Amino acid sequence: MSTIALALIPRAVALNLAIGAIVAALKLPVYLDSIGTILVAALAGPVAGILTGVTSNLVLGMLSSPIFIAFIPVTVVIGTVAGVASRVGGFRSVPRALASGLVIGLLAGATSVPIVLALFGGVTAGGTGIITIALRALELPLESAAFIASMAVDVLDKMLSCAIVAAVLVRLPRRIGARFGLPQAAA
Amino acid sequence: MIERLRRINPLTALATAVLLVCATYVVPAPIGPALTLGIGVVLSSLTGVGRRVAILAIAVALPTWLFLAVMNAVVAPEGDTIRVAGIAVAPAALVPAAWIALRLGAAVAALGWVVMMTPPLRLVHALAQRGLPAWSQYLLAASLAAVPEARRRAREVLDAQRCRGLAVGGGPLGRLRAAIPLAGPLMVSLVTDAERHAIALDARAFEPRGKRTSLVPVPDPKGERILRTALWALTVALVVWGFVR
Amino acid sequence: MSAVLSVDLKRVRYGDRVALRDVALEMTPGEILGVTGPVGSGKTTLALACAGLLGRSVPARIEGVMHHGSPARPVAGYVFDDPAAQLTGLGGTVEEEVAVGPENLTLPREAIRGRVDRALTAADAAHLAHRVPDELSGGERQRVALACALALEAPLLVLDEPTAQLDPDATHRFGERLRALAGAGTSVMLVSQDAELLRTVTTRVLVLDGGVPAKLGRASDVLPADVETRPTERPPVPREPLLRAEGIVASYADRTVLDDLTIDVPRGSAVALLGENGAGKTTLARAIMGLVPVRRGEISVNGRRIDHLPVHERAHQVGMVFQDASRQLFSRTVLEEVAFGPRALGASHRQALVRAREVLGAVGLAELERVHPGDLAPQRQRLVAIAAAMASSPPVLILDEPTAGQDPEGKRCIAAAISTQRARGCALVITHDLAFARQVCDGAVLLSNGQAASRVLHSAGVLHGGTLAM
Repeated sequence: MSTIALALIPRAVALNLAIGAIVAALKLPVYLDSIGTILVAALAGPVAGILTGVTSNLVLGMLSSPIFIAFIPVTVVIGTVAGVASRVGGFRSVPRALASGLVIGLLAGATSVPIVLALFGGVTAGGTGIITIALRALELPLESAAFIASMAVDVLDKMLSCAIVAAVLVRLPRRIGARFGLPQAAA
Repeated sequence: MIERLRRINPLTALATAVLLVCATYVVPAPIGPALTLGIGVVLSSLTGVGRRVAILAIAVALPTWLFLAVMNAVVAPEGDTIRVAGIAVAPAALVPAAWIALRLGAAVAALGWVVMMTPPLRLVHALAQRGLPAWSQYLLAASLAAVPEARRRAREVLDAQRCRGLAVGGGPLGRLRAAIPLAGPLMVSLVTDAERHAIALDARAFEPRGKRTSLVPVPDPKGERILRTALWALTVALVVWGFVR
Repeated sequence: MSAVLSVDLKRVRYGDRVALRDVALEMTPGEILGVTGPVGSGKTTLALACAGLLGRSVPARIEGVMHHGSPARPVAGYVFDDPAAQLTGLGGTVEEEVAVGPENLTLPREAIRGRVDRALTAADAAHLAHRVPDELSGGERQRVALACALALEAPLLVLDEPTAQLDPDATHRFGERLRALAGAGTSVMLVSQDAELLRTVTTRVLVLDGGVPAKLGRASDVLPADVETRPTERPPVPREPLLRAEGIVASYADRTVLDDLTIDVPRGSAVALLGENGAGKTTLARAIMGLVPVRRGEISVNGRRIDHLPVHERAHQVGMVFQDASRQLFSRTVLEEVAFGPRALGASHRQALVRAREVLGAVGLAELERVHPGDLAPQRQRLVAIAAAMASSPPVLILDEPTAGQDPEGKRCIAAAISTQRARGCALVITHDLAFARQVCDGAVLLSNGQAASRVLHSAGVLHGGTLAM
């Protein structure tokens, strides 16, 4: 991995942790806490994306709560899928990015379900948990309720994250874009 | 002895915590988690982080139990129900919920002990001394160091764009559109920073795949290394036993 | 005396673009070579080349000869203008950060200790050894960055605009460190826009223009003489205040920074806001903008109170240009970027573009309309930020250190912008650059002890040379 890709990862990890301030100011019902992971995957490929995700969860484990360590498989999936999506042009426009976000959200949501089932009995405290409980009230089986709840939240979050990443990729200085092999939009 | 515990090598503490986490999930509830939680609490108190670890463990375990209780005892009752204020409640479901929460609390307490007792960089230095390659040292250390700066920058972007007239309140569509002028400069500036950081690394003769020596040693006495090997072996044995069972 | 560095570059190119041509020079131990020139003239490329950093993270190709006299690895220490980017974070304290270089060289612990101590002493940062880098001031961090480079104990030290973000005091002290280092035998290459620094510190100066060496000689021979600062002809200033901040009490981090402060900025004037670091200049600016809550006091523009308005509504009356333009640029073209303010304040897309074009023309940046702001040098980005703030036509414009690190061309643009702003309202310019203030402003306000006092800029008795006499 080139030094510049290596140097990009800590900035992206910090972005994952810092974007919360902007999300809170805008009162958006999402986290955007993988936006750095997706950005790195789009710029430097799946391996760099995975490293960003893993490091983010380790750092969160150290700074916030060890629980984040359990969700490392989810960030691995996000980094991998975003990296692959980028290679097939999944971030070349906002509609494409929304599609990429949909896929990433579905797969990430699916990956987190077994973790939530095994460690939390199927429901985590928070928005996703509330949706799960509501679905259980409608008599859906636990696995389905957890699945749908996780999917719903993750798909929205990842679609918005990917859309923002696509918008930002076009706004990068050409010099930097070229360093990462981005197809440059015509001036 | 307490002093010695406080100066423990972070890797030994980590090995202990991993063993505790495995025991929490392999040894049946309530004995397993209760025991490991007890050990975690004792270790935390002895090293002066008892209160913080307890708060962290409760902050994770209690809401989990509450949500599980609401879901499994009230909303979709599992098992025999009794009527409480007109609602069918299954009190038996509270117990497995409690075990799940207890396990979480014990696991969080064990890992939380390591994290709160050890300054994050010290853990990275300890790993470095055991051969962690330069690139992974950098990823962990630089990420930790980059967080305060990124948070500052996020606040500065908010300030700068508000000064240009960007309103962050209003309807959902407006707030969504405001995401670009806010997230955009933050993300672009962090990416362009990467180039400068890369130059700085080159300028300090950084070799990503190389090894690095260190100015400040993290003591790792032979006794602890032997203890660690034993702890890891015990952990593996425990996991195997868990699978076999 | 063998040369520390011997350079004969035919071409240095980034892809197809030739950034530097036909540069031949030699550096001997103990000399300080200055390198200067307008933005984009190839100074940074030359610095990186001489430091042996091209071709790794910076994808440039060298055609020619670059010979470093000593077999030492690395060939040079390198310091640049951004204090934060030079700190890797691999060390938690200053001395651990300084140790990073020697640690990368896998030196044994005693050797690292020795190098760290020597480097900290030479950079005058020994008292900072156990501090956390994140908590240091800009000047202190630059000294730590210098120590980090010195710890590599290379015979050559290359610095690229190391004092661009420092105040005159810190710049002066940094210059003294460099002279001491050269005195001890290190070769120093100093890229800088600061003519004063170059004059006091260097033995020779190389002037680049368009990637090609233009002049080489003593600083006094080669640098343009200081333009005699005469107050330009200005119409008499009417007395009524456009901006008035009265009885302001504001705190920052539990400290009362502004203590019953009153300041008036008359219509048609540009006022320089002066004061030492920590005196509250930025706090006052942020209080006027509404970013910092005011415990007591009133702020009014055109006689109307604005202190009850939220920040984004004050933007109609007050514009603020921050020091770091990169914290606000996000558009694909300069034109779009400058049009953002008017759009945010309610103009239609078409109106905003018209307005943006007008402002860019007035400030002298018309040819940058279609350029991607991210492709501009930081100095030019700041000019775009100034145009962007002016596009909303606020009666009051506040600028925070607009000339830091700027070349003469940039300063001319900024002066033109302030002139234009004066005609429309007023400007408040926070600055350390007294020469610029004298050229462009009609009055000054000095902040000290949380209060403001007017000063006359052109009175010989009060402000001498580059320092404040209080």
